[in-house]
Amino acid sequence: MSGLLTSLKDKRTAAGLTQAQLAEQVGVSRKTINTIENRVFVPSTVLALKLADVLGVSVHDIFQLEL
Amino acid sequence: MTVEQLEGLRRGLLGLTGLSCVSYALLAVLQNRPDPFYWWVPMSFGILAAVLITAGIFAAGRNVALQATDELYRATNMRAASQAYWVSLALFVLFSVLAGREVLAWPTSVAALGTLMGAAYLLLFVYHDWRASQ
Repeated sequence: MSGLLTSLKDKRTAAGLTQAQLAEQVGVSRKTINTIENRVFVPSTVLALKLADVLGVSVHDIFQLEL
Repeated sequence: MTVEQLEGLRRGLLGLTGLSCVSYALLAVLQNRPDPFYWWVPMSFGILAAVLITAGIFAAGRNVALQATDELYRATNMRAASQAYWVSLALFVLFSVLAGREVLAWPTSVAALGTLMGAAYLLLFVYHDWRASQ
């Protein structure tokens, strides 16, 4: 578990995208999206910005520090 | 070819190569000889894996290849390499002791050590990649 909370799954489903569709749009594998949603993998800043851009939200809407 | 198929191909071929290296090392230790079977068998698995993975990348196309080698892949690769480094250091100690105490002949120890060092990275990568796929 990382120290990063994520609501990526909620934002993705709200946007009507599957993991595979989101993965293709940001140029990563579906496995990467899955591991981010399950808090196994912490994405780079670039990937976080790409995810926010595709989902049309701010990075802070997807990721928050676990305090 | 999809991203999942390319990842599966990579995992399968690297796993087979790793297992061929482990088989070579185990048989070398059990028989206490450096050439338990033809030395080029593990090498051939490695070359075949490289050729088939490369062919898979070309068949899949640039976008799929980039997705299959994304930042999670690079992190998995780094994790496997880091752990394999420490496993290799431990193997150096183990086989030095075994050869020094004449449990194994030096040529056998070198052969087993070399193949196990390669297997350590390959099998650790396959394991971590497989875990991430679950």
